[in-house]
Amino acid sequence: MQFELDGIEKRYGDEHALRDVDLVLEPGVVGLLGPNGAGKSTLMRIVTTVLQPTDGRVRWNGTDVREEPRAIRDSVGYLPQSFGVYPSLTAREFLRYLAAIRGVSNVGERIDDLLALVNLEAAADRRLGGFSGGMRQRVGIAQALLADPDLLVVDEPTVGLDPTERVRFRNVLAELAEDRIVVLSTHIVSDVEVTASDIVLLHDGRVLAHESPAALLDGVAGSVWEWTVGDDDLAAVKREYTISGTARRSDGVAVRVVSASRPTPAAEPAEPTLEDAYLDAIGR
Amino acid sequence: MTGPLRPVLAVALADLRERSRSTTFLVVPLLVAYFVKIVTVDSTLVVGTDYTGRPTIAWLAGMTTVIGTTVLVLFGFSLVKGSIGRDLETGVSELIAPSSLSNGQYLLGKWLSNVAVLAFGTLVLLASTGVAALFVGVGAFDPWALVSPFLLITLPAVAAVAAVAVCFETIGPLRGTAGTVIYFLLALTAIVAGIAPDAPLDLVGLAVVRDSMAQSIAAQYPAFDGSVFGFTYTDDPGGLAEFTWAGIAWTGARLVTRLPVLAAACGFLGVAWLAFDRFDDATRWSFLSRSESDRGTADDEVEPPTADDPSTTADPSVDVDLAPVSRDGGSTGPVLLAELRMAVRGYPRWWYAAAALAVLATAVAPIGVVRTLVVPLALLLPLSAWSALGTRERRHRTTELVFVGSRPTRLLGATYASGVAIGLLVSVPAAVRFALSGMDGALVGWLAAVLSLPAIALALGVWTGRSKSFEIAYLTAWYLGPVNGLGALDYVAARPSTASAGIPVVYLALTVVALGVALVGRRRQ
Repeated sequence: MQFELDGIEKRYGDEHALRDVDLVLEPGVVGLLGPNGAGKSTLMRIVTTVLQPTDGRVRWNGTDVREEPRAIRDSVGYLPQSFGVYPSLTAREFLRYLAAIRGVSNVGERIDDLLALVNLEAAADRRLGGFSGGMRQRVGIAQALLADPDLLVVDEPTVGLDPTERVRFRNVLAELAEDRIVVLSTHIVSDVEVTASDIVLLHDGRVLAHESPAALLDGVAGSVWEWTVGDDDLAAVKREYTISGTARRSDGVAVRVVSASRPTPAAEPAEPTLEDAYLDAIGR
Repeated sequence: MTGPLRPVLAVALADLRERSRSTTFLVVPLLVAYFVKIVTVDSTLVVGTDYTGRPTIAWLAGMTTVIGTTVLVLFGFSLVKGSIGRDLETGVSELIAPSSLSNGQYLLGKWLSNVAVLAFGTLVLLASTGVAALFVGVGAFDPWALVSPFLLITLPAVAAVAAVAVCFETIGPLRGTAGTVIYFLLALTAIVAGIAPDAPLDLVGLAVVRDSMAQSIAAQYPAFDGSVFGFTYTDDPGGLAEFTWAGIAWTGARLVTRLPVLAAACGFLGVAWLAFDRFDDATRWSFLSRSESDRGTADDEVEPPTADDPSTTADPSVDVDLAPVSRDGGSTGPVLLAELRMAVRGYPRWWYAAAALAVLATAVAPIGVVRTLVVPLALLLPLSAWSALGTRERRHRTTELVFVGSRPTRLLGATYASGVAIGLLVSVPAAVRFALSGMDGALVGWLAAVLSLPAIALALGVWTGRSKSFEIAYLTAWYLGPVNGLGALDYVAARPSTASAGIPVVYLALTVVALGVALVGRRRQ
């Protein structure tokens, strides 16, 4: 099972949303990280055939998806960042409807399982018009898994979920990724940190890095520092360094910065996190 | 600018900017210009039965004003409505509701924006009339004669239309298709009632222009008996007597005829102000439209989430053990079932009562009345369901859920079938009675209507993404065809002459074409 993007470019007029994107994805969770406007959603929409690339090749198990889109459409599950539902249908009816238009049958038991998985069993037969944002998001998660996809693409999936549901969904993704490709786009670095086997850093439409979390962490090893500064000095530190965290203390403000060299004799080396690696890569 | 007007202008400007970046703004001037060409260059207006005006600037402006204002009154509502609904759909309402902007300022801003859009249409109408005058050759150019009818007839009328659009949007049950239908019928009634001598409301200025022309004819042709009821058009002006019309002399009495129109605008704005409850209309109109939100015409979240959201008790540990499924192409049944559910659910209660009444009437009313009146009326009931065909994915933002991995032809087929089914549902007893009575023409006409109307709706919905286009087209065809006997638009063969002319066959052929057009559009999506 392999998904391949080769020289992908996407332009809107003169604006480049993506340029020269080369990626090979294999089973596991691939975390897609990048600031707003980096091109994450465009990339996911190309992966799911919602958008056509301006240039480049997309291959699913060797088949060119631009020539044969059905090859991937039968294998993809997609949770868009923003989506709606049909308010007059119940959650169960909506899932049955989506299964039918995707050409999937014998779905009764699977829909029951999915509703249980996303904790919507009790609300399964209520109309979607009365669902809260978090409940709708869980319906979205369930529909992405309807057709037992080999390629699961989820864009900001934990938005609107409470902390328990968020952790639960992370666990679901990790388990699903054992035998399929899961592409997870999010701003929540901790979601990626605990689930991703690979991380793709996107910035300004380009791939900055495609590495394992461990490799990214190695890249900033010895470059993360912590020390405490007075309130008056904080502004100067912010100007000079990439700050990955601050915390107020009784004696001032504890700052955490990413810097190749020790910023000040008072700074102590700290254990790097993925957030440090991300900020370092984006700020470079 | 400071003071209370500044927020009003800010609302209007933002709304106008949003609208001006849609394709409608490009299409409207082209349509208006073409319309003016037809009215002024391609055909001749007949006053009474025997007269027509010499081509002066006053004459061109007068006739363009009357016909153009009628068109703007009938269709301008559909053009401008939806501005408050858009704030609901986009969530801007959540930002407006807690702001310091007063209800009056918000509604006035929306009204101003509506007026500006329709005034833009009026300006294009005026400019096109000026260009037409150059083509026709009108002699001396009198700017006041060109501008005054648009200024004093069209603008007050569009101000009233703009106010009705705001008013209807503040009243939940009138926000959707029902509002469009009710407006269309109200506008028609107002226009027709305005034709009568001494009618209190001359909405489109027909009476004031007609009476002024009648005075001119009487002065130039002593044999003229003074009776002019309205206007007609002809392509053959050979036998008509020409008179010179210098335009309306705007006396005090004539200016006063515009006041009821402006008063109507103020009245509708007043009702809007009373009815508007700052986007919190979940309960106020519930006796009429308990499920209006289900059809997506209002906000999808008016129904508060229930308290038993089970997420609070969720266990974060998980064992993913999902039953297998078959990717064997599936079947059409569940898609059709869901499409049918969406087609028949979510209406206000009056709709179900009207549908039951329609079925009863088609079953028991005299067969002649069923053909000419009951079936055309009954087939208005599916207007909301039909106009939603092909637009639902966009309206409910389900495009990416629905189209990724789906079979577009199956979905399109099921959507169309659900549209046909709802037409059958409200009128099928009529078909049985036509068949039993040997009324083959009526039967074929009914079949053509039930098959073609959802097909046309689907094609328009898929290509425009909006329900308005079908609503306007269908209501116009309904009024001109089955109601007024214009054969080409008598889609249901309400008159025997339509059936014998083979019009139903044309509509059956149109069904095939429309489905093909819809399929091409869907594949592009």
